Amino acid sequence: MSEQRRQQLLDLARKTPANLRYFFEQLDDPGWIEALRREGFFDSPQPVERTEDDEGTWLRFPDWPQSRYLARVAAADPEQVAQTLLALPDTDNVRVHEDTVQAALAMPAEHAEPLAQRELAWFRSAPEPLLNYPLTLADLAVSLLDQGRHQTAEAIIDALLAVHAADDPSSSRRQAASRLSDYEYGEVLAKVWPALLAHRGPKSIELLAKQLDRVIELTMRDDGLDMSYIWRPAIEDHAQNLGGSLFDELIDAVRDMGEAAASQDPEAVMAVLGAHPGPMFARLRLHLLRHAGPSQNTEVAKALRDRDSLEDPGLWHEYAQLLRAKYIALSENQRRELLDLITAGPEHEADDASERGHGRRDYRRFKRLAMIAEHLDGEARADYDNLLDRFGPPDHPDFVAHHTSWSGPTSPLSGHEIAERGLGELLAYLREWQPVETQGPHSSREGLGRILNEVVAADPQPYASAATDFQYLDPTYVRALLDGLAAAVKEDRVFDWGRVLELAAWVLDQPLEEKPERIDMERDPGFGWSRKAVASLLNRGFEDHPGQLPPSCRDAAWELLSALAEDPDPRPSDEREEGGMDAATRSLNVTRGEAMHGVIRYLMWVERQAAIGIADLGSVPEAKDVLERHLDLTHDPSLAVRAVYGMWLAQLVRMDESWVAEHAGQIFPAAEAEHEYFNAAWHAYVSFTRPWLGVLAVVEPAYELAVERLQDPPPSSPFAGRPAERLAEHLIWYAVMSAVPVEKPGLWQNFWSAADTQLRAHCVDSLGMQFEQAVEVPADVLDQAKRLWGWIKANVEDRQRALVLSGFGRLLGSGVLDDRWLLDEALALLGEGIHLDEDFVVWRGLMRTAEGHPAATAAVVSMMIRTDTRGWSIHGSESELRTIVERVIDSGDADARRRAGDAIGLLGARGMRGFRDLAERLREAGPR
Amino acid sequence: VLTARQASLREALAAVSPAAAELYVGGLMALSDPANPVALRMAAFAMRELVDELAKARNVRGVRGPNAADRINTLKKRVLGLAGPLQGNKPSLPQLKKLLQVLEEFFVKEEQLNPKRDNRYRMVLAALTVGGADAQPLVIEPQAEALSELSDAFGRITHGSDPARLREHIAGLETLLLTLLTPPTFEDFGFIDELLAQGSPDV
Repeated sequence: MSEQRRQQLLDLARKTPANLRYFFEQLDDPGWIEALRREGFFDSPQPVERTEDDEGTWLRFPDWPQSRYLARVAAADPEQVAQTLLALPDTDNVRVHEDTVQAALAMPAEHAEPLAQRELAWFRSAPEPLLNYPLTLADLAVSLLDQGRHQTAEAIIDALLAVHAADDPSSSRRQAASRLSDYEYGEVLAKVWPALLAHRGPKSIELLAKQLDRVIELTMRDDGLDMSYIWRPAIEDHAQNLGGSLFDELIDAVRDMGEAAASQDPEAVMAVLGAHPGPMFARLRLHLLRHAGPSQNTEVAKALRDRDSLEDPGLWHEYAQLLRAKYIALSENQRRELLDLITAGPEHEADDASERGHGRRDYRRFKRLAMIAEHLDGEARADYDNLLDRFGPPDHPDFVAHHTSWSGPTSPLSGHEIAERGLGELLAYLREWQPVETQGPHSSREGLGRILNEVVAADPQPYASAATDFQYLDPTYVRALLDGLAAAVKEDRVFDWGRVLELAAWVLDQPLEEKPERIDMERDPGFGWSRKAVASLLNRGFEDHPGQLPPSCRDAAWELLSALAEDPDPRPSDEREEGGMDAATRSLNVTRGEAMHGVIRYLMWVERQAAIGIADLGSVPEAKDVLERHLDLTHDPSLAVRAVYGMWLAQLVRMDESWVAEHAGQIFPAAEAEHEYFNAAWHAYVSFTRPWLGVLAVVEPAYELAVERLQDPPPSSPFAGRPAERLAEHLIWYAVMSAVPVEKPGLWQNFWSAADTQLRAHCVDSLGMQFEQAVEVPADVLDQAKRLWGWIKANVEDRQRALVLSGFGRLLGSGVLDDRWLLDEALALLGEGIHLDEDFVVWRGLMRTAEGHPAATAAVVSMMIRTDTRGWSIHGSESELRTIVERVIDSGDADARRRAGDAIGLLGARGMRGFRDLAERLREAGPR
Repeated sequence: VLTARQASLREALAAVSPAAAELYVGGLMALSDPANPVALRMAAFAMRELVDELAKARNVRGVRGPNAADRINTLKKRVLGLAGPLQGNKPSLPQLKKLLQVLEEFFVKEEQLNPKRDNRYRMVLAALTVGGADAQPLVIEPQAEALSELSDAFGRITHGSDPARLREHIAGLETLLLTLLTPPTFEDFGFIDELLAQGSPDV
């Protein structure tokens, strides 16, 4: 290539970041290295990008196309690549270092080793995160071991495996940590130990053992006690091990390497492990002896007859396993000697003649003998049998302590078994079955009740017909039946309600239990929960399902409901003491709240029965009375009950607007003393109800009060949602519907003044989202939407402009307003540097506008890419972008095509190489 | 009447800064007005200014900080605070080191508050480059150098300067800005492919 051409190419390569990346990605010829070096292409490795925001400092590690290229051509010219990499200026960009290691991996050791030494020096003080670097460095260590460069390789392994005390104030336990994650640590160990063993022999196990020793030292208790048998109950893989920690990874690696090495030179392995004091290494030796061949029988016999090992709780498991596996290999004398040691018990407890001391020694002897029970005879056998009678079957005798967990509750009968039993047989079973409570997994009434619930829900009629037969059963089963019937109604199953309502009436006649101090998870404390189940069942029965309550049941159902509406649950003290739940959520979880929901559903049920609906609430006086009575705080001070009125406000307005207008002041009290009652009803209303003009007309003062109280702290309950955002959604909808004035002082302007940046932004977002869902919007509403948008643009401060107005993207995406106006507004915002969100919605909208307005659409695409400072906008939307650009190109509009060319160039600059064919299409069609 | 290339640049500039686009078009209009006696100087001034408008639009103004008087006052307090205990004695080595450190911090901060022209150019170039976060000095430095040279050249334009020379400088600025704002990425890729196909360099 001529010098002129070479210079032309290099100038082209450094013209833009995209060109530079492309140039190096295409390059696979090491012949370019010298020319590139002379031109300074290797002078400045890509630095780490640091950005700071309110949440802290963020790091990004961009890759460096130059180092990727060098790694790629390292095998073809290792000498020149090594020299170039060694001459690079220092950098903390871990990706450049990873490329360096990758390059070294492709080289013979003579060139790789100097690079490895340089990388080792960097790794020792490298800042985190290290990404994939440690694993690649481990590969290099293995490669160097393979090529005989043992010293450098072992230095790298040593550095990779180095541990230090963890600085974790959240943990009470002392812990060790490494610069690698526990997972990476395990991966590095798995990579290096086979190579170490292959090239450096069994003694190289010391490289791992010393790190294990260090971990134990760092994690010892302050009094120097090694509790490692608690954190790692078994050396072998075992369900009792928690696993996954750095400590576990090291033990696994030392164990596996030890097992592999012991087959070559067991004495050497035992010598390395024996040089480390402490129970962990003793356990590892016992473990390896268990797997050793007959040549180690002498060592086995010695270990089994070591009294300290026999009694040490820290070695218990591995000793037990060795005992079970190798007892048979002992001689007759050795066995006798061992049994004598087991019988004698611990030396230091020999003088303890107390009953407790005897018991402890007997149980320990029992667990040891259990491991070899099948080989015992004579006195030892008799001793063991006696102990067996006394203690029962041994519970995991190979562990000092064994942990069991299970999930419950569980049932003694399956659903199939319940369904198969005749009703009489089932009722007898429910009456007679008693759970056996143990520490481990066991069945309970709660578990049986849950299965019964499912069976009833699937086939309710047989159980509904016999509902009264469930009286006097444990309340857990009564509740299960009622809940099962409620589920059946919801799933559109039909049954006869007569006996069911009789059972419900019987439940309501049962005395109420005192609230238990502690909830028993295995059975109901009394009939309180069944009363709540009756309320829930009635609610389902009032809903519009095939299995709903028949009109003939009106009196019986109302009698139950009106009684439940006076249920003591919730007590005022419950609402004060049991935090964490908002009033609306609580209303669904307490008997009286559920009954009040039932009262509204009852009204709607009655309304459905009447062919012409109801004139007003006065048509159903029994329900109207209850509703009015419970608005009186002296009668019902519950916040949960007050929330019920808010949740159903729109339905109440629909049924009787005058009644709501008359009682709005009680539902949403303005007095400061009743602030929490206002909140209970208001939060429930805005959170559960979409904006409706009819409601605004009746309760506008409540909206005004809510705006006044916009600065109140948000509800602490995780279930409460965000009432302020819901209010914003209501108000912007009323504004666009011209139900509240926008350009004059009033509700909207008061809200806008009180709203912070986030809330204003949510307002704009929600307008777009509501338009996205709209099917048809009248012309006057569209005009008002444009006026409203103009007002918002004129009334947003500079500092919050980008965040608030970026939500215009949703309006653009919705396509409800005319495309020309949307595109002009979009271009104006983008011209201010405001990127439009959400990106995918914008791309979807531009797919629509591309056909009618190709030139403006292409301009918006380019500006969206330019204003995308995060670089994420286009990713994941390639197919939408392709459609947009293709439509613009196909439009035949010359101006639009020129702009499409700009957009394609920008997409390419963002790394979207898939658009190259479209650039070709444009090129073939003529000059840009 | 703008050429297609000029129209493309005007549009791309307007997308970043309407004021910069106005200066660009205004400069071209001045240059094409034979009746304008200060056409060359007006055009040259507009071209220099438009870069500053782009910097403003991309927020390349240095970081916010106290005014100059407050900054000098703070420096004075820190330096006098060091010299205070001397009482006529020679400063110790640690004191001198501390003084140098105070001065270095001051000048670094000053550069952040008021970046020098070349540094400001680098910042605006990186801000205008698509994928600018990954722009290497290898890419930015030649552009910053070219922009400085153009800026100097525009500054030297007087009433008697050669109009053709000014047009050359404007064309150079156009090329630079178009590269940044509407990179012909895939055309460049095509050229790179063609040149690479010609084999290794003869070094």
